Amino acid sequence: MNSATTSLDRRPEPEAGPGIIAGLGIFDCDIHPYPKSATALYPYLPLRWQQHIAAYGGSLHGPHASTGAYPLYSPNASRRDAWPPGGGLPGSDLVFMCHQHLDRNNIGHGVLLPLFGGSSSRNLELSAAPCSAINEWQLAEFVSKENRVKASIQIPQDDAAAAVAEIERHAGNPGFAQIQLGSSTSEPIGRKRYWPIFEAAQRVGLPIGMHVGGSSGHPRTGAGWPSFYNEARYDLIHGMQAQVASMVLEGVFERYPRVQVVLVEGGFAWGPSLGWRLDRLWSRMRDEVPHARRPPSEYMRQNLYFTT
Amino acid sequence: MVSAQSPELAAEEIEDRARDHRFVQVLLLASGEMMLGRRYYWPIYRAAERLGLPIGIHAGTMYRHPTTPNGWPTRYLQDDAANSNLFASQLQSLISEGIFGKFPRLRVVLMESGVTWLPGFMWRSDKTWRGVRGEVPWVTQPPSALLREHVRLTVQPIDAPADPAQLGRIIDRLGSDDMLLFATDYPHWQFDGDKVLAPGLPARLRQRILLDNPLQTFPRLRDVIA
Repeated sequence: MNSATTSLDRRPEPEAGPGIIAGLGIFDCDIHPYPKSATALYPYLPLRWQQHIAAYGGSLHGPHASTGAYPLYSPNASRRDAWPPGGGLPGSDLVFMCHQHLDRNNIGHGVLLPLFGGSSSRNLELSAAPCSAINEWQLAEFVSKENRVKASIQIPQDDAAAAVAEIERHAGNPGFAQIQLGSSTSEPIGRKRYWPIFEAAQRVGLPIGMHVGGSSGHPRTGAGWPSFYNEARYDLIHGMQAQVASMVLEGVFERYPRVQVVLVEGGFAWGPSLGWRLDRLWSRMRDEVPHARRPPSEYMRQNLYFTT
Repeated sequence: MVSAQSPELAAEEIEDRARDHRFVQVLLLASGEMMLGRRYYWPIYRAAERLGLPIGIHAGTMYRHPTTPNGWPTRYLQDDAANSNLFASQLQSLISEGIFGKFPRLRVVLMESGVTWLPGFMWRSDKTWRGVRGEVPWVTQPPSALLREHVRLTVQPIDAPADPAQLGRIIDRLGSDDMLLFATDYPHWQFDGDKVLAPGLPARLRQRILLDNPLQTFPRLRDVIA
């Protein structure tokens, strides 16, 4: 196909100025901060958990203690030019991040979403402690030093009581912009065990930023484990779609109508088709889900946001 | 019907039955033990390709795996909704494992998969391949091109937009008039009612969907005409 050759050579075109309100700057709803080193979180982590991690590693769902099940094709899934000249992982050097990204791209406000730590750890205590540490670390290392960025509250998602406590601990701090969840959870996120998280989000008035990915322990697809990153990456959005279906059909938005869920880095071209599919199935079988009282696409329009 | 859990026996069954032209395809399920692109299943594809039989993949699962990547949902409706994701994952598996290069004459028919998710699949699959195609160097064409050549879908359900005027624009995004096949799902109750062809399907596709494309996909149907 001739389109193959042309598409391979495609380069991003520099765009004209965004023409937005002078002095405001645009919003970037998905920026990833990383620790400078493996021990960078230790100042915020009790000694008991430092020793535990040093001896046993994390407690996720993969065969490897420090990486995911699929090689990411590029180191740290990062741009090659984002490795800080002074060393460390991309996203770990705030000064370089500001210079390379915020300044150059007119980012007036950015939301940080850390993608490490253990919000989905099987060991619930080993989930709660790193989440608390990452929250303190975001404030100390990023938010307090750069007023253009705000943090996301990390929560131990499989321990609803501890998650709510962590939300309440930070909700009053304007340094946090949202509560963070992953699109991969131990069970579909609309199930009853997770409702206290939505209740707390609505009560404190913070959106939930649901970033694509995470660790669920289940096969990446409903048909088993794929072989290649080319599949594992594609299939990520199905977890996001399953979360949307679960929240809508379990009645989460009926119970907590003011909850806003931001679907981060999960694509959005699938949104319309999923809405039509759910509407069709709901119109045929809504007596199976009487708590979802309106067509699913209405909840999607009311309660969901997608990052681009 | 073949025993997908015993691909060698399945291939024998295909050999035996292919001589009888009343059989027009080989039937597989959208979710079984393993993803369908895996080498384990290749004897089935080898036999089907050699004998000119398409592989029909029908909605449904053996429940060997949770129906979503996040585990088990609570309702039948949710399992049904997740079916279209099973098909998308299987397409990505067939593409990534190189099935369409290994078996260049093989045709795959998705049955009861939904349709309107497919343009978005093409865009994301092409984009993913463009970025990491070095991992799967045997995939030498964009996934969307492979799908247009090798994959067909039945139109019940189609998961159409509420506004029929939008449907034609979505179908045009497939970039092919050859891919859609008429189907009713008889006698199941999930069918789309009396509007057997979704309002808004482009008029030029009517004959293609009802007659031409099925004949092209299942050449043995010509025996019925003759």
